[in-house]
Amino acid sequence: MVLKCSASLWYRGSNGAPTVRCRPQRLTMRLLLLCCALAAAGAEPSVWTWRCESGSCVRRPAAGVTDGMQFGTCKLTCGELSVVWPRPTGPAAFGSETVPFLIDNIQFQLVAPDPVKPMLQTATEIFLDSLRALQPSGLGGRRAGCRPDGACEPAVAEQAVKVTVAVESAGTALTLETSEYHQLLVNHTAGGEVSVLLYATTFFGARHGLETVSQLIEYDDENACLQILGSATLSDAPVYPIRALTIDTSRSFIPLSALRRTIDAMAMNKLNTLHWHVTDTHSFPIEVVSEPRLVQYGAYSPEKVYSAREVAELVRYGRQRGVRLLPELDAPAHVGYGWQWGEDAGLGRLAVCVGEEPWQSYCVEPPCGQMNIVNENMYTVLGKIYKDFNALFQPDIFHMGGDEINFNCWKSSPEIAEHVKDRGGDPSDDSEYMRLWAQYQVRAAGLWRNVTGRSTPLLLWTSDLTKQEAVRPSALKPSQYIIQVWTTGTDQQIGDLLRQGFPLLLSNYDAWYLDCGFSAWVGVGNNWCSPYKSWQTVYDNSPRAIARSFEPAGADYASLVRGGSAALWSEQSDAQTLDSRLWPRGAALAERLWAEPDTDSAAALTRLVHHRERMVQRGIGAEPLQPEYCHLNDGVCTT
Amino acid sequence: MKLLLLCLLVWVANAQDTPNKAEHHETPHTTEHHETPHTDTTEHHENPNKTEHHEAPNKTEHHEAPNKTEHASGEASHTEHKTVEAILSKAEEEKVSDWVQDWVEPGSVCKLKSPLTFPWMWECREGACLRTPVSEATNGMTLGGCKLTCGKGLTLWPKPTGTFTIGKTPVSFKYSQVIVIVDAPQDVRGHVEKAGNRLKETLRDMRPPGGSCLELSSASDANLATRQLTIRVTVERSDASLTLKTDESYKLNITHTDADQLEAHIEAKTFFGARHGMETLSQLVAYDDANDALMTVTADVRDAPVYPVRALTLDTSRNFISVAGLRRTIGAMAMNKLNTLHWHITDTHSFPIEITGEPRLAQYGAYSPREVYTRAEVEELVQFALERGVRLLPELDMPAHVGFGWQWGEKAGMGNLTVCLGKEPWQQFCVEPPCGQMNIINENLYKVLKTILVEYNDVFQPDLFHIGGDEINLNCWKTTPEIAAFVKEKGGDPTDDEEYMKLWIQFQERVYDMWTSIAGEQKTILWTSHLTQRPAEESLLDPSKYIIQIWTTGKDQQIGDLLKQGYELILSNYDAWYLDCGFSAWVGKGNNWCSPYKSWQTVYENSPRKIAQSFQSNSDAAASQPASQSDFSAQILGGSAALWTEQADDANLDTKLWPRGAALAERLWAEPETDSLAAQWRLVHHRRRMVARGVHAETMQPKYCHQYDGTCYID
Repeated sequence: MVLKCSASLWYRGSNGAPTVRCRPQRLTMRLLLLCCALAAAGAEPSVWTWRCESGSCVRRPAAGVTDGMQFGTCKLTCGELSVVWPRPTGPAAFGSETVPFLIDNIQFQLVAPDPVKPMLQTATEIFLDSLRALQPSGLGGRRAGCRPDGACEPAVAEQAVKVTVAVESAGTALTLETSEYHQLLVNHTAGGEVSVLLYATTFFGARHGLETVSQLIEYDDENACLQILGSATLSDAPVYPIRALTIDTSRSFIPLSALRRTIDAMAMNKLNTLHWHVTDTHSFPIEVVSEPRLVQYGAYSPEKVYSAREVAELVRYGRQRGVRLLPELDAPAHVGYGWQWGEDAGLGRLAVCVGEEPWQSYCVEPPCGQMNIVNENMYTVLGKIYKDFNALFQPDIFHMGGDEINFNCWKSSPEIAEHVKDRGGDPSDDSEYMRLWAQYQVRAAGLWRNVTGRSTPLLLWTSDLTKQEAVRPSALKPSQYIIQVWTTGTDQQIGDLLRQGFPLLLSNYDAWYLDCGFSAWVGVGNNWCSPYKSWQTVYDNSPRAIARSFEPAGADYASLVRGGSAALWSEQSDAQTLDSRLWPRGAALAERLWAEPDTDSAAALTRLVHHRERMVQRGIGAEPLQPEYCHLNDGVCTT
Repeated sequence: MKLLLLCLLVWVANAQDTPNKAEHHETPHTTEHHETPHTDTTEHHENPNKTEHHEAPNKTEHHEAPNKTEHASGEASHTEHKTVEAILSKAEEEKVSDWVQDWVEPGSVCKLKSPLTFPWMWECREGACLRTPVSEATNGMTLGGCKLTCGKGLTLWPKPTGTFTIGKTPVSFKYSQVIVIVDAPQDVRGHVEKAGNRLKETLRDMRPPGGSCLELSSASDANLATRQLTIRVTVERSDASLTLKTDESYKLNITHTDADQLEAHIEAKTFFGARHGMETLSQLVAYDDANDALMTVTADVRDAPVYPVRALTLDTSRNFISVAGLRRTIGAMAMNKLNTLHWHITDTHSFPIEITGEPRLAQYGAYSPREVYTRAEVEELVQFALERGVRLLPELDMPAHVGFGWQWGEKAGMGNLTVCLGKEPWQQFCVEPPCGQMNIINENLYKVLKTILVEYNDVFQPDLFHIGGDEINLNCWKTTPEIAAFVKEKGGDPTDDEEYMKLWIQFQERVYDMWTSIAGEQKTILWTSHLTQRPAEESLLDPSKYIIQIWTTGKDQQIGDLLKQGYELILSNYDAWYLDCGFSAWVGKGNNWCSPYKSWQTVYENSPRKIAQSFQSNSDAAASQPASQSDFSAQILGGSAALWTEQADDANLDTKLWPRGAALAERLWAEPETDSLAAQWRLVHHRRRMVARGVHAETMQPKYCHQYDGTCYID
């Protein structure tokens, strides 16, 4: 009764020979006859067919063509790495046979230590969801595994796909030391089943591996089911441990559903860090349970709040998808609304210059605001935030902000000027405020350490503090801080920091600021960091090349680069624009950070175009890169 | 080592299967690795420096250390007794699948509740709404209430061109008490009633799903339950179609009667004017948080557009846009009183529209069988648009920008209908890949063309038709043997560009005659091109036959020349009104050809009147005529902002069109003397309204700027 026969007899193996493998010999003949009957009766719905020519899928009229493929089949089998994004860094080889199968026939076998098992189980559910998204809703009115003329091939219906995932480590936390390595073997066995073997050291490697497997699967329009590449081997691991997006939820609130969708999309691209710039001067949208006035006074509206529970859940949601939430509490500048209640509560002013005008004199963008770093009560509140952040995020890295401090704000605040004077300083001297800032930084870092009871690496933006070597050595140590570079990729500061041994995270705005190029939000014309950073610019921005450009002979600067982050500042972005701003440029970033390819964006074009379509199928509103014509005709849309 | 592990995996996978399956692998001899997964396996890292992360014993402190950093002071004691640890442990108890489904969308849920009430109100100061602490506010309002009553028409977009007054006192009413009474001629009565129903739906949807989040005490308003808003719509004429002559003016009067009732009266010559009036009325209503009701103000508005053509140009050939996307776009246009969707349906890349008289066009031209507009869908869309005051203006771009969809000619025995199709290197034969141009010497081409034009006329019943005419590449025709031979046969020099120019002009005239014989006498629209650029005596085009749509810059001398020849113009100058500019290049690197991105400010400040007048003074000076002799700006029919879709589809349609399309709409409706800065607060508010009504318009500024009018400026 079992017709154990590979459906691959409709396709040709790599050597051109039909890869028919049927167990009971006599069934083969019947099956072949059936196939012939189907081919004769089958109505051809499309006037197009595809052929693989020198690694490109070429569209041709179907009439009279006998060796044509469906588009999806061609994409899976033609060219180097054409469907995997980001590209694997280890050896990889792909076959040229695809096997149609029904999604319900996927079986999993999970081999993992107990703490990992439930996460792995959930990862397989996510994996299946991503496959379901490839199929048109309701299969376009067709029966699964059946051809357009209604004929159903039993071999397709019975095709087994067995996915075995083995994870070695019991660790469930993502750290800078976590291995994201994985190894994959897809094999269309002699027994007829498709066997997918996935090995990874950690859960995180395993989920990346499942992501890769999902990319080896396309919809099969002929059989109204899925098709999987019948043979593939690869081993893969990222070049950089921090592959991040920086998301700002203060200038505009971004609803949880959009953050979850962003995490989904990051997972599709094996990005592993959502650097969450939670707060800024404009609003304080996160609930700090031990000091609820922050969100009460800081939220734009009663709805635009992340409750503590929601944050905890989002952290879990991210971890399940291989994404750490890296919280930033930007300070001592970029602080304002949310802190205004101090005076009324008898705690004195917690922030100064809040909403001060003319803003150009006190900050970089309206509204102004900076911490009152001479107010002892401010540190009490800060400690509460740190404590809650630590509990909610359980972060292995913490971002302390530290950018764009405006001395004039402090200088013109009487109580701070007074404080400088009391200490015998000259209140009109900028360097006094520089010292105060450095002292603040040391104290805040100590506060974080005390609250968390451990020494997590700390992140700071490039600033006057990271620039000034006179102050820095006492305040900042390379063993403690990673510096996130937001100036340009040619900024001499990068070389200076590397020379002193600081690990770096690159977010150089000339390539990796995703908010650039749109309308100005104050005044007229375009915004400050125009032009728009094209996906090509994003892709071609190599942290390694940047580090090496500053490298003296004999030094190894590139090893100090921990990765990078593309930033979406949200002055002009919220849930409406989030996806189109982030994607597919975030995918270009992902391949750069995963693989540091020696090749440039032009070499990645056709693969990224295909990946973008896949992201859209999975519910991400990624921008189109080109006319659909270019996707259907590889290599035609070039200069 | 890697191989070893792979073998281990193979063994694991085959453990339950027959053992002879793994014949092409090495023998799985390392079973002990499977049983002891914690043995050292650092070798399989790509980077040997990295060491394996094992669960560190100090990793579990987060949940068990509430005693570690207990804060000393008790100043937070006014809040309920909850701790972050309690929240976490609760979250931890639940299965992932439970809470993922439980999540409710923000925007519908109040996260701040008593005692954490929202501490802000708004005050109107010098025409600006400013957020103020409740304790300091003397005349505090909600943001919606403030925007409605502060300044002059902060909620109106586009701003009325006639006189208008807006009251200062909001009056509340219940949605259930809204009545629409229609007084209109039979022919348009159905349209008006439908528009009235949509207005009621718009008002109904102003209430947030969960009601107010503000916990305000309601003011005493004894008559609220019984106060009616009676909306009376009076339409004078029975014209049911939109033309260049259609009167779109309206009068809106909202009064609060002595009997404490609300009455809104909209009077218009046509259905189209009345519909605009209803749109304005909806902008004078806001949600009333205190009473969980709606509120409006007394008003008297007189309004009419400056230009008769207020358009968006949308391309559905480079990338397909779903019918749902087109409907949403039309809905958003209606919110902005734009009245024309100039639909660039086809191009070389694809032919996505079903022509029932020649189904091979879509069969061969659609990207996929799913990416086709069926005739029924288009007919419904035409109706959908008309009911929203929007004409669908179809474009069949030709004789260039033609290609896929026409390839079947030769096989069907009709010869090549197009030439240069997909020809490489594309740079020699067209402006962007793939190439393609009509074979204008093939008589069979005109048969197919006629089939299309007859069907376009039936389906769209257009009062305006666009025949494209841009970016013809003479080299394509010149290098096509049958066209070169044709030129030679007619005694011409096949190497002379001018011969192909002549062919083009003949084609143009023939298509014009064909269209007018089908649709009746009407002007057709052409893009600026080498043809329109020629001196009047050489162009052979007739200003009484053609309207020219300008896509070159607003400084192009061609504009002045065309105006002087008496042409009517539609402006789409790319330096301000191309909405696709500024993004990634789609061939090659860097940014696309017409970068930078056209900001909403640039869109807003692009004045057709000023552009026309700038050539008037030039031409007057040259001819030393008095400026009053002719008024170039009277020849401007309006404008259109274009979204070419090489890099747009359903995923980003809304963000590319809005709110920049709204900036365009006010320019074309009102031609204001003021600049974009004066419009900023209103547009920020209007953008939020569009989002609330389901359009994914881009954020212009942080929400902060919406809450503090006038603080987001630069000197």
